[in-house]
Amino acid sequence: MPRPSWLFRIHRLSRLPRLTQLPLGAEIALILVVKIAILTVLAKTFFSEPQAKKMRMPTEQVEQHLLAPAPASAPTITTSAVSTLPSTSEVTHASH
Amino acid sequence: MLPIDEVVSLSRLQFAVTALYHFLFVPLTLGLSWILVIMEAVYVMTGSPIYKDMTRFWGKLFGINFAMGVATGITLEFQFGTNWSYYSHYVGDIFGTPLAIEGMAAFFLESTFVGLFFFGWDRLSRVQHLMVTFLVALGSSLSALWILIANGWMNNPVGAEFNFETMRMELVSMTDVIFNPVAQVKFVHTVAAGYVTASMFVLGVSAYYLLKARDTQFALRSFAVAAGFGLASTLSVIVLGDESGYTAGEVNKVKLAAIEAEWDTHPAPAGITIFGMPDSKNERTDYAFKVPYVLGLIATRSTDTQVIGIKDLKKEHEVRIRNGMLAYAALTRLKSGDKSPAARAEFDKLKQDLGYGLLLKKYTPNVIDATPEQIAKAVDDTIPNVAPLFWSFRGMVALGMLFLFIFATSFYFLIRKQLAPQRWLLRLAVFSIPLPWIAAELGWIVAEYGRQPWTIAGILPTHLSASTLQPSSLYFSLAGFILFYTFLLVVEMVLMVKYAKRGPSSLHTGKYHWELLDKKPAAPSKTPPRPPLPKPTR
Repeated sequence: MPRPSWLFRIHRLSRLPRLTQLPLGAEIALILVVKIAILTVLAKTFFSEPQAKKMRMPTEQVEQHLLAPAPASAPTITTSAVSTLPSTSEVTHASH
Repeated sequence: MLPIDEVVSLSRLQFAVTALYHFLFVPLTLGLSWILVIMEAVYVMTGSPIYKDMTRFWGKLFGINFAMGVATGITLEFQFGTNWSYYSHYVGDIFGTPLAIEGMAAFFLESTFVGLFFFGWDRLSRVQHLMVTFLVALGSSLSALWILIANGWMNNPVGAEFNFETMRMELVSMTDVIFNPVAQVKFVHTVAAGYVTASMFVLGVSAYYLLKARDTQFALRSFAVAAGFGLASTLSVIVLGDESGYTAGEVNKVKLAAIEAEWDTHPAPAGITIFGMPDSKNERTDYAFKVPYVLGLIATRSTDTQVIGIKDLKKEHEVRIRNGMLAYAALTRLKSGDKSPAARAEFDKLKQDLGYGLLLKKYTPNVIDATPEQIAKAVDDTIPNVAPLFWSFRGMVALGMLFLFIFATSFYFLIRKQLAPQRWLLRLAVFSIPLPWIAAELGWIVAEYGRQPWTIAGILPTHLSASTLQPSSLYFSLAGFILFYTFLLVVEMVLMVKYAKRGPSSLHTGKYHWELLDKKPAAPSKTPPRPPLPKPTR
């Protein structure tokens, strides 16, 4: 008996029950499996090496990111140099 | 665009896309769980089996949404450590507790009781099963509470202080974090919006059955629950939205001014702009149609307090940026080894404006010597893009008013027993099913886009929060997320439409439309062929 051709195999596959004809519980279980698989692949591919492990980074790296290289002698700030925030009424008055 | 700008923009886009997709699933879970509690409570009180069928049928749709939505938020947590490492470091001490509690609530409370809800009908007494349903709803809301506490803290970072030794914010008072007014208002507003979403969903699907004149007793009762719960929820959303506006007026003046396109400070009480064309370049709103007093009353709850306009806020911000430069210098001095009490006192005095100084890092590595032009650019950055906020907010409010009209009218005709002739209302309810999702997404755009240029308001600028990554990696992960979420969304839509069309016949009780149709002797009929009956599940 000759082996079925690939066309015949595809035809036979198309006669299997469609995914949407599965019971709801089976459909959901199948989707959850697919979902976990996709999430795992995404996590392993793009997010497996977080720069902040357990929401923490080396302090020196954060310093380097946020602060300019420290000058040889950091400027001294005098209290008198501090600007004061105008009150809302001052700002409002100025705008008129 | 510089590579660092591209990385920040892509990281923002990725977070926005995943958060917006995630929130397509959340509101229905939040709201439908309480609708199930109401339906099952009526079943327990009356013993009427139709309410049990209602709980089981809408519970089936709840289950589909829950299964599609569960763990879709985990992708946001992936991004914290990888795309937003500096942000994660800054907030780690604050967010650890809320996110851990959220995980406990979601997985141990919510998921466990969702299982019991579906498999416990024959194993638990009526009251026990009702308690399970109640705990599902409570678990859903508690999950939202802890996430929104974290989100509220980003908008109003209370109960924490910057530690220059560890270069991060550290928790000072958990009570202040939990009872943060922004978080509380955000929580109640968000969950109430979820209740509206679920009510519109139940109302619309029930209206579809009524239009098709099938399973009318089932549909009428579902419609009644949805109309009542939806009306109460919409009123809550509006009242809580008003409270949200007041809170924004108190703690987030820039967001409020941007939402309202308030360029100038007007005499109190300020009028509200109903319509207009915001022009950020010229700092004005063209064709503005204003209603006097309303904004002042909403935002300040008084007739004599001004709503500060954007131009004046920019002047305040310039002062804070200049103070921030001094704070930056003081921090640099501390980090260079001078930890004398005087140096510490100096930094402590200035540190509330350090974040404003950090805004200059976008334009110069040497913040201390920033030029007036660089300061002016940083000042401009402190104001979010006005037009998207202006329109998103108005879109959300307009939809809220439409929901109020739909629920109020539905409720009115229902109690007058005149619902059936109102086919226009039933059709409107069906076509309005997707609108609450649009309103909720617009609300999130207002909330998050309005926080720019900060990830933590006034503390950490967005451009300093992102990790150092290759743009290509972000492009690929963004594409992966879009495909993943689109797949889930398509599956959800297919399953929801399939089971909503089948209606309560999918419960296989033998009492409802399609099953009764099957029992009738075959005769020539113009009735369209029924959709395939889903196989029974538990």
